[in-house]
Amino acid sequence: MARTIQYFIILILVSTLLPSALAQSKPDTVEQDVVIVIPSNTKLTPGHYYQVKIDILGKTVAAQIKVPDVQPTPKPDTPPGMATPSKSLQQPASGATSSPRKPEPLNGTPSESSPPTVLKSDWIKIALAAVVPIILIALLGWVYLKIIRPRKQLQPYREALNYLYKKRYDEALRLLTEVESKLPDRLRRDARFFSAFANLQLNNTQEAEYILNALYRENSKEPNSAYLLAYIRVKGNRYNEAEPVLERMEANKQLDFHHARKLLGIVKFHRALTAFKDGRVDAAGELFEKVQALGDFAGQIPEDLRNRQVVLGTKALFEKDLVEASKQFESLQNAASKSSVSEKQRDALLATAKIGLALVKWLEDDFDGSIIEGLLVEAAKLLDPKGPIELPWPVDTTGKDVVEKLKDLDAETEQPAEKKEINHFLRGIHFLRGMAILRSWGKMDGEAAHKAITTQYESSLARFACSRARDEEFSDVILVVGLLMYYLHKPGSERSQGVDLLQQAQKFGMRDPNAMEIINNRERIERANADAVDKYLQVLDKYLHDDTVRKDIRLALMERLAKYKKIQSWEKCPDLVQARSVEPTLAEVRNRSEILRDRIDQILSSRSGAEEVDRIKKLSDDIALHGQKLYEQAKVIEKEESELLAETGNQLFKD
Amino acid sequence: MAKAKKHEFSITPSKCLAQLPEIPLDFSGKDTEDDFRRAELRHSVLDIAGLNHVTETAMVRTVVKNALGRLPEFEE
Repeated sequence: MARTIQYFIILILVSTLLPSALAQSKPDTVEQDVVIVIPSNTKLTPGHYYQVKIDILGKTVAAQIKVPDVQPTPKPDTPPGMATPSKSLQQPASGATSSPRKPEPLNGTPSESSPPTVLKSDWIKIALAAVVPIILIALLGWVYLKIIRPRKQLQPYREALNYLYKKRYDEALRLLTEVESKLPDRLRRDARFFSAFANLQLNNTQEAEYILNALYRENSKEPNSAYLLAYIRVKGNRYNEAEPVLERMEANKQLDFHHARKLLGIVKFHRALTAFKDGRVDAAGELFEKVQALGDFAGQIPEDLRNRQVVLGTKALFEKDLVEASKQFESLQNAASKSSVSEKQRDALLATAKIGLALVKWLEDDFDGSIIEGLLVEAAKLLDPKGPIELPWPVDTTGKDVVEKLKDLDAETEQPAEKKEINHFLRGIHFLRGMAILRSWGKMDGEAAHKAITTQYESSLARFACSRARDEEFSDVILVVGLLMYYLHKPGSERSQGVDLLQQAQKFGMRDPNAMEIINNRERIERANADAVDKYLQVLDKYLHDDTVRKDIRLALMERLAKYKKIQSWEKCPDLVQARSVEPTLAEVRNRSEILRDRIDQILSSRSGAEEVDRIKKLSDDIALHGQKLYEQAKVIEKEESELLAETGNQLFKD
Repeated sequence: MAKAKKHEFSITPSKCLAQLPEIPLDFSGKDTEDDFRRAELRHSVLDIAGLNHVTETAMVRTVVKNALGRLPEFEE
């Protein structure tokens, strides 16, 4: 490129200087009006040519004079004897001694002529010859200063940008710093921007921001530096400082520049959150409205925060300002009824208003469960018109196999966010309904509460079931139902199911000490059971190997127990096919029974309370009774045997 | 001056800016999230009602005591 420019300059020089030089070197004649002073007695014939010789500073120049046809009028200031102007001369060189070309010469006497007149076009040529070289020299200087030298200076700048391009920020920054002051203005500004960018990439954020701040102050309309400045501030969570820069970009209609709109959305969002934290609900509302208008993060604004009445009502509820809360939610209810928004939005707002009012009632001293139930059912119906408001409590919530559970999980994951949100809302509504029943139940006097156990228990479970249907992992509902089942049932399957629920709630994060104690108690029992099983198997082993027990009895016993995995996997399980039976003595039966009963009593000692245990104990008592009876019978038999022998002896020994 | 055209250079300010990763909207901090949730009625029903595992357990025990006259022992 530089070589091309050199050729170009040479071409310009050659094309401009050559004509001038040629003009200087080429001999030419010029025609000039001159005044010739001749003696008064000499007369030149009009229309004739005279050859003259002019002495110019000692140099004789041949010239030609033409006398005009018309006698010239003498000028007022022309001295007498001067003829003016006369003629144009065909001047071979310069100066002349005039002599007529025809018909007659001036008697060989040289006539004295005036200096030759120079034509206007000649002056232009002379001027051009003088000015053009000056212009060319100036042009050359300009070309050097503005093109050639800057191009040389741009070379390191180019290298710096190449480093920047290759993400070699250290080297880029070093070169940019060196070359920046030598660059032309416009590139210097870019170079400063690049320095800021390289600094940012090298985590010299403070330096980067310093440069950008200066660039921004110089020209706030230039979007590159404004954007990068805002970017650094947003990244550093300095939203208040980023906001004016982004707002200026917005005023300059530059929000579509890279992600400027998103940056402003982030700034407004965070400022809204801060306003919330500070309790400036109105300001937060305005800021969220701006976020909505910007668009990018509108979907992330929680539904309730889009409505100031909901926000103010919620705030009042948290502050236990029930009058204000009631006012806000009633106002919302009225506004929503008349609102021109879509039916879905209106229903959502109405539902929110009713829940707000239900919570006001919940917090009031004169608690009225029926009003709360009415409001919450209305809210639930508004949110999901087809959703159930009562369900049977699932008998076995853990009955689903892994595949079914995975399917449920997939279905839940695929739910749209809106559906999840409504489910979350509804689980709380139904749970509150269930808790309202418990609260009312707790306020009854003891006798009425006792009589109402069945109805209140079932009513609350029907509502809790609706809550659980919305979220199977909602630990609160699992905890409450688990406790109810545990406390309100005697030992047995339902109480055991209650403890199962508490263990589920524990998996979902429940750590309530009372519930944990119940769970731990069962674990203790289970550990005791493990010991009991071992003891039982020992007793069983001895019994099955006891030949005084009839073989068919032992076979029948094994047949009854064979369904249990413990027995199936029991290594000591005896082979009774080869077993033999020995008739027991009464004492053997009695001893065997007593030992068996003792062992079983020990085994069951840690399992007291359950119905099954009671039944087993009764069986044990029956055995003892039968044993006693058998013993008594044996004694009777013995007595009768004795009597029999005595009577028979009496008969035989009559002497 | 002879303006250096932008395309003469390997990188431009705009290309630099295009390299910057997008900043996400992040308000997931625990405190912020709590504040956020707290401001929402639909996420605050239980909080406002004063319901949590402790109060719920207490309410159940009150109900059971009221209805049965006492809480069952573990051994029962």
